[in-house]
Amino acid sequence: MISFLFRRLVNAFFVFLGVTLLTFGIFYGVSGDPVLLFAGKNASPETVLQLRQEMGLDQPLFSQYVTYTTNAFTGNWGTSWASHQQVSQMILQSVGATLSLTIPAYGFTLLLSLALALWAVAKNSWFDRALCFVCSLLMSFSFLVFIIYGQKILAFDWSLFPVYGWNPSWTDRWIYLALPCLIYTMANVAPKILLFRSVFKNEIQQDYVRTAYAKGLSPSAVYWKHILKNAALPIVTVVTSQIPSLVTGSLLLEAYFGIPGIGGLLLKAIQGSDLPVIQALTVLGSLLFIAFNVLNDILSMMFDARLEWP
Amino acid sequence: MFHRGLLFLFGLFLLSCTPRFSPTDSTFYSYVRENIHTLDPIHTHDLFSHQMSAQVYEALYHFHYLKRPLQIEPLLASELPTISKDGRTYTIPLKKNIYFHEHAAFANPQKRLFVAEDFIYSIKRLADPKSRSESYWVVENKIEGLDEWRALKAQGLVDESTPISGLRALTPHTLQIRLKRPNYQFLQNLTMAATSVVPREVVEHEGPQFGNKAVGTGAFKLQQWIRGSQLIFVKNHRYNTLVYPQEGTDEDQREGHLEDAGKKLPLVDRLVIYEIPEPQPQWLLFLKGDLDVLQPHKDHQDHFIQSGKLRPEAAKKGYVLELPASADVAYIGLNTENPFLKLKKVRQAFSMVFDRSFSVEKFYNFLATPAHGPIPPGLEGYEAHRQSIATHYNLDLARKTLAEAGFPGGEGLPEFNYEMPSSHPVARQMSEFFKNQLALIGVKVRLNANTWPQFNDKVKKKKADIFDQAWNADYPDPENFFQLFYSKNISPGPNASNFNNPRFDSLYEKSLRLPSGPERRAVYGEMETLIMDECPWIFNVHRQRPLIKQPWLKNHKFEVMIADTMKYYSIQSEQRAQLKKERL
Repeated sequence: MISFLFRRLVNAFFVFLGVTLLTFGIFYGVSGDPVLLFAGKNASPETVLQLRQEMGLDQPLFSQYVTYTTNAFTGNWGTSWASHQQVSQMILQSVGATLSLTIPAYGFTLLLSLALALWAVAKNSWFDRALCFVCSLLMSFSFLVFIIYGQKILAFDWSLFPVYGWNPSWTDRWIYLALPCLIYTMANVAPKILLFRSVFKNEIQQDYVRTAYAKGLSPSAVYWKHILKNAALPIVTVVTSQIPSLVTGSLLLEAYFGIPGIGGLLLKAIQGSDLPVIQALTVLGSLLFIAFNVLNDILSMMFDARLEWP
Repeated sequence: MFHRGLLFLFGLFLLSCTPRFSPTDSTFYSYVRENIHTLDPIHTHDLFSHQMSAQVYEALYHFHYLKRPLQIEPLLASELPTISKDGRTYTIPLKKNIYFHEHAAFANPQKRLFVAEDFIYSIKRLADPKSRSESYWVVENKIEGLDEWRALKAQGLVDESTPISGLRALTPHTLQIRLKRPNYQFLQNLTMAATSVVPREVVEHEGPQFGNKAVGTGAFKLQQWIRGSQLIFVKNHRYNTLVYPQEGTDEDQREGHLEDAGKKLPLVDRLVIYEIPEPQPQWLLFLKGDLDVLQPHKDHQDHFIQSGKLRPEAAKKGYVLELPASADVAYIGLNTENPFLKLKKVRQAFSMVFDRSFSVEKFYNFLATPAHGPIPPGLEGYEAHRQSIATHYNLDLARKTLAEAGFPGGEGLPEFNYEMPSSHPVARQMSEFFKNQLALIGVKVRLNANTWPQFNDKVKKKKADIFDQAWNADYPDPENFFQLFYSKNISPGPNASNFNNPRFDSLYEKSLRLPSGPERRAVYGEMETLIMDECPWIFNVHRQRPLIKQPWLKNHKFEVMIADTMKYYSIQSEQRAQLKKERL
């Protein structure tokens, strides 16, 4: 197990190095000269030159990459070029808002999709067919449609929720998060239901299920003790692979409902060529993806008896 | 029982979602459509950050809120400056008994008096290379000794205590500024946000957080800023820099803008400014009455405006339309260093083929006026009748002019790159229109969508042949537009079309030496005529920015160059509570 973990961590290191190289390359390839952007519209050539030195962008590209990678590894993300704020502080300020949207929304979506998928498989009747139809319908709309109509109808026309706003208090923010969470669920529940349904359908046809019924177990015991346990692996894989995106946020929901989260922070940074912020968020995102991939491998080993530690 | 409990909780939730407006709530609710980067006045180079910062910080001078054309009046200064005969020395008396907002960094947190040294420190901070200010140009090459101090500061050879010959505090409340050479635009520079006064103790105490912790002398104090969501300001009860203006235009008299004349400012207790990048929530919040003013997005303008006027159904609901001019010019820039675009007749042909009336109607919904030169209406030297044959749509003449240039039917011309500053559908439609217009005279154009940083990079590095751009006045003087054609300002400077004309340069330099008056206006006229004939730009429009106001908002008079406006607004709280109840 230890040698497996060691190998995965070494791989992760090189993946991470690749991410930094790619981010750095893309930034310099397509983002334009940040000095010209931050120097302002009336800057003189002397000011541009001075600013280039101040920002360390007069150094050779390789030397800039070394500084960039060193900062990425040491967590020294410096200050934002646009807002002149500490990048780590900007992330800390935003991550709470994002997680308070994505964790409940994702949790609710997961529970709902598991429950409905299980129910549909268990009933195997008109409900299953109706659910498949509704899911296909929901999947045919873009996320933006859910947001625009959700906000217009539920918040504006029916006044069930606030149209927009945010309260940093942990007790009062939920009023503003209820509708975004609901929209998130509506937009994301359908593919999960269909996925889990097919996983459960696959398991229900296995020999061990027939054997369990033959032994005289009740349907609920068969579902809870056997089917769910065996279906856990693909479910865990889906969940762990999506956790990093909970941290990186939901850009559209944040923009439409005024949630000061990570998604908006990243968008602003990309639009404004704010390298320190882009660097920090890319590093954070890739670290999370790498960590959860490793976790996924470990959990797969634990849940699937057919797999052995190499 | 369980179901009843659920119903009760849901009812409570709905109640909590219903906005409540007390009849005594004197809060101005508004929004900005881009996120605020910072409140530090030396970094507020975008319009919205600048507007927010101006509620807290004050410069020595500002523009009179009501008088038009814009007039400079003292803000932290107590009078207009006394200017020496050689035009280089400005002596400025400052107001006494002006206090900064409370902050723990002050020796006496409650009472920190504003003095002349604060201004000197603020200018040094602006000039300090470590500050990385985008606005150094405001004072660059103007104040005696400042550029030299900046160069030495970059090498670590001086600090803030090192005196600068051009900046002196004669007394705690008398300032003297000495310029390198006479500059009649300098007073305008002293109205700009970058020259606002900041307290040294707070800057040093807060360090990089200073941009979040605004502490100035302004009418409002920052209470809370949730980045990416909202800013809340509260009334500065000690504010005594100004009272509500007692003079205005006849229109102000008619619209009741002088009813609060002489009153202590600010008139509202609180400002709540949401950061709302998407148009839909802006529109919905305004319709609900949760915003007091709306600048409707193009997609929502039809709900309120028809052919440049307020729709009757909107008027019935009490909405008020304000149509301020923007003091800007939208244009298509031509890189005059391009071997083909350096030919005057080619540029003229391109300009003649551009139909400004179509642009005004289709892209601006009649909320713009066709532009024939760089000076926008409302600025000194603007004359509507000053036009050129080259800035009028004339397809036949365009074909003839192109043929005279040696390219009949566009033969011999390469395909030009047209750079768009975004991939927004409207920008794309406008670019397609231009491309189709040029196709009428046989000229081919390739459209390239860019992000703003990419666009800026191409323009500043002279890689863009043709580009779509606009210029908003930094201060209300045509010089701010004419500098865009001065050869010493070519890219990466602000002269993005890299126009180089010795005659224009000499006129521009002459205008800098002239005080405001008929002689300078005549020079401005000559410069504008030259530009209209040379066509380094294809002038498009001067835009208007329609604003829809709620009936309970009083004293709102928008002018893009006046940022410290919110202290003048007043809210009829009872009317708001009543009308909102009716609309629900």
